[in-house]
Amino acid sequence: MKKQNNIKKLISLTKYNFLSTMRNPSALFFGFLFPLIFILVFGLLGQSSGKYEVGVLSSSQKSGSVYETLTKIEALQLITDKNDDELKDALKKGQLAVLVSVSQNAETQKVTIDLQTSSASPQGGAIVSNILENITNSINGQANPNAVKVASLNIVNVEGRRYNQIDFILPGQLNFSLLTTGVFTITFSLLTLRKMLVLKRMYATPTPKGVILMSKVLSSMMVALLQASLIIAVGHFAFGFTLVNGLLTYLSMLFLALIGLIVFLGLGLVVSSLADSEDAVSPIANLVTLPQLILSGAFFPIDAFPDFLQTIARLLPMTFLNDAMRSVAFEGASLIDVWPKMLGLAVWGIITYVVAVRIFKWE
Amino acid sequence: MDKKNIIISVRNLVKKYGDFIAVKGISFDVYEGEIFGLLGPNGAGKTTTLEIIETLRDETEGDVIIDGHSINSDPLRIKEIIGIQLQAAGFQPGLTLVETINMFAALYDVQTNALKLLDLVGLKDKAGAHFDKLSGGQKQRFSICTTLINKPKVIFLDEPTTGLDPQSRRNLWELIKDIRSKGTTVVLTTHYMDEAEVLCDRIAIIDSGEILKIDTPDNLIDELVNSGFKKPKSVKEATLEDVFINLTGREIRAE
Repeated sequence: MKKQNNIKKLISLTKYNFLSTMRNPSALFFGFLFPLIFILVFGLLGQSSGKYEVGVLSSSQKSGSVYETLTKIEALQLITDKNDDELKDALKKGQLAVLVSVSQNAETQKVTIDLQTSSASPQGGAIVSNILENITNSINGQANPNAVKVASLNIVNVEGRRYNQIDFILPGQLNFSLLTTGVFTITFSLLTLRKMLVLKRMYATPTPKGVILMSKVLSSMMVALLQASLIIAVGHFAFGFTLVNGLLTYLSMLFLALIGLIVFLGLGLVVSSLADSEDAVSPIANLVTLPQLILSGAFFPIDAFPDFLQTIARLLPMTFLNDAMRSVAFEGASLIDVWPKMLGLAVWGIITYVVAVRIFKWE
Repeated sequence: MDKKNIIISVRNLVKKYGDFIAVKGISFDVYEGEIFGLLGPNGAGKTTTLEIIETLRDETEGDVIIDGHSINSDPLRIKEIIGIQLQAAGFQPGLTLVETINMFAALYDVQTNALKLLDLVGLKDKAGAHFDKLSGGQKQRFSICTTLINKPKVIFLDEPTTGLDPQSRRNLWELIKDIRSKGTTVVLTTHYMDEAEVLCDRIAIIDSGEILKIDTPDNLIDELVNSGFKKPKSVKEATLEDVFINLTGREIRAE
């Protein structure tokens, strides 16, 4: 009996799957053009009104290095000419992103930034919290999302990094496109291949099922990674997306994208096996993607949810990816810094593939 | 009849779907180099039987031996020596015929000359075309072409001529005879009795998961005639299909 070379088969099949996808006009449109249009829209929005309005409470210091730093951040517009009642009212109406109060303990010299967010402006609240978190992190190297405590005043020259709106938008948008491409494209493509008996015909050759499935995952991954690198590149060159550590950040983001894609494509395999018909695919795929989009913290802060939802939200693969991507893209963290998030994704990866292999349908 | 080598041996094959028994313990042999037909109405169990033999479906009981290999212990080895045409199967969209053949060659882990294979089924001039752009007859010919990539000992064709015009059917019959003349055993299913009569050396008639008869088409017809059977209408010297072919010719048409 001839020894079958499965690696050679995998490479060849992946190549032809990739070709097949790249020649599909609608896949190209949704895969490449769609995310770019999103970026374009957000990029243009960002250029016209890139500032979040931050109300400064009367109790706040109006001087000191921390306060000075806040005034230097281009993405923030500090509002100081209103009284506290007016400010709180504006916050409730969503006109302001957050309220801040900077105070300093006279004895310890410790500076505290108190932050008030509102459900009226969840996205602005999340983004400003991120900026402030990043500032305090760079001051004392310690993360604590809500009540931000600054440990030392001795570091005087805290340079405010230039924050563009695209810096907040792009990582979330990237993850969004990874999730949807991961789940939807592989699901629909498998559905078509199954309906046309293409998979069955392949399975009629002496090629193990695992090789056929893996080639499908690999080729989809290549297409989605191309897409991700294009999104970041266009974001950077056309809309000034900041790559904190240059090429390293770019590559780190792509690596995270790859890890995320492995999980999402696995979810796609599971969805495609659960859905018998085209009618069933959309609801099931949406059931997998929508809650993740809403709960992952990309658009609304997780802290705004009830406790039980927070617990669920923090365990979702999209949340792990969002947190890791944000740390890497926004704070310039290294991949090693975000290992717990990657571990979380890896666990999801193992679960989805074990399930996918068990329930996968060939026709 | 000459002593012939048995290439496929089906033994007591049973397939159950829950309470429904689709195949009820059938046994038959296929000889090397023959064209063997599985005939039967829809739902008779033809495709199920075929797919079990092709190792695409698990049997409930029984065994099939192809060229000395059992479907139970050696399915991968069997896949190497058989070629399969699925009923109404498609191919990866966006690939040309040559690319599709090369992809399958990789899946079989064999070297192949795609153009030569396409020439064999009369599709050489369509080498750069996509499968969905082919006519019905061309699609079937290409489907059969992909069964030959691994130089199989047996090919299985599931209703190869369903939905084709008379010219394309005749053209396909010639192709199938041609493949057999090169030493490949052919197992096919069909609904068309004229097709079975022209093409098959032997046929098995299946209904409700059981084999009713196995013999050559001639013997089966003689047996019926000898039992005193008479057609209610006197048989004319030609059929309507003969008229059609006589008027429109044997040339296959472009669609």
